[in-house]
Amino acid sequence: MTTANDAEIADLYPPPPPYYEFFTTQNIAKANQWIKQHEIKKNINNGEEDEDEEQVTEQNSNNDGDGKTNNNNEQLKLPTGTFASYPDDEIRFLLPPPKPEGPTYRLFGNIWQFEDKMPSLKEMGVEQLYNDDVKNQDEVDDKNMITVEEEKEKKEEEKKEQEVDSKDLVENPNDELSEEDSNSSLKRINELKKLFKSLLLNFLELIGIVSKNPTLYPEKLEQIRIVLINIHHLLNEYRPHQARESLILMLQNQVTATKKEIAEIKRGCQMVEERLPKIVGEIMKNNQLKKSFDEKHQPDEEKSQNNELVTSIDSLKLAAADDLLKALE
Amino acid sequence: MADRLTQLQICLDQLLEQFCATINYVNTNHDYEPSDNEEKMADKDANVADPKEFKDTMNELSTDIILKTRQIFTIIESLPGIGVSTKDQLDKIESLQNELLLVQKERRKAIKEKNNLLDWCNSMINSVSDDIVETARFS
Repeated sequence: MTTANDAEIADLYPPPPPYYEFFTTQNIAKANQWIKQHEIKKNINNGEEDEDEEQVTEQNSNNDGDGKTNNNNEQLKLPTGTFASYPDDEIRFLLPPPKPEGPTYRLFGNIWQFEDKMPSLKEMGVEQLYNDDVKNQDEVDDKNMITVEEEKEKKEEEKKEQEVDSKDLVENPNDELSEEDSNSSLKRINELKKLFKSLLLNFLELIGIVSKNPTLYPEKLEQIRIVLINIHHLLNEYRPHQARESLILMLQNQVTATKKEIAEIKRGCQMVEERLPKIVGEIMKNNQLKKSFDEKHQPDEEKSQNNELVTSIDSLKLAAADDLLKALE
Repeated sequence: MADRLTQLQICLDQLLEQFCATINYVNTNHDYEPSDNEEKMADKDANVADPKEFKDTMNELSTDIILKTRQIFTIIESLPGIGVSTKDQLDKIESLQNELLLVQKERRKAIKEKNNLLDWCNSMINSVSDDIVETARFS
């Protein structure tokens, strides 16, 4: 049974690629040498920083036995699109493939960007409704126009109560523009509030439209969609800011925790240092007592007295040890 | 600290769910309202709610939406780092980092001192117990 099962499981997985046999220690060394040569040549050609080269050679010497990690390290150093210049023998299989060209690559049916950044709304083809205070003034003005236009549309459709909202929406950006750059997050908060208000407004409008002329709803839905995308985008743009803020908080917590720990340790040590002389003094006293007992009493009684003394000293010792432990905890 | 942004996004999702629920309720429980001189429509399969109940539920749903919005605005107000620029944040992180390094150094020192004291105490206890053994033997 088990062997049959094993065979079934083995059938599930494809055999390793045939070129795995090329990964011998010799070949790995050769490949590393090739990369090193190539790297140096490239450095001379492109006049790259010396630091990089040093790092590469260091890695080579460190990872000679381990070709895989080495190759991974080298991957970014290799020039792009030079498959043709790769060696013809089996070492070719040991070298990582060159980096694909262009800003994007495809993987599992998705298109990915090499650069790890957040695409702006414009790049995603979504209308941006909020002010982008980091960008230049013209763009900001453009966006103001958009917001104003939108609000006008809304005003036509909506009642007095909502007009108050719209006025807020229009007035705010002007206030913000006069503010300083350091308050960019504050502006962002205001933009966020505006977007949420706009969302509510749009929902009311949607209800109104559906109750009067249900066939017109898709347009409104699309507007709500855009507002939502904008909100999410704005929130996600805020994330790095929050991450830094969280980091600050964590650092502060760690500093205070460590300080507290130090204070506790010091307090414990101080307590022990204060008590030790006392304990030593007590022991000395007891010793003297014992001596006086020795002188005064007869041998018969002496024995029992001695036992008592030993136990009392023992208990003292235990108490002292207890104190120590407590203090040091 | 709770992640306020995630909280905000969850609230946004909840708000949208409330939107959907509201529309869905109106859609499934509404009564038929004749316009002008039309005869009032009737549908046996329709799940028409009692007028009072309908109104109450509508009130409740809209109150919920308002409450949720207030919650969202409160969270927006309490977003961390309002009015702090990136440079300030980075400066603060660096100074905190340096402080942490110093404090950790101090901590190691304190632990070392504590261990020294502990060793000394141990030796003290040992010598005391040795003495006790000695006295017990000689008596």
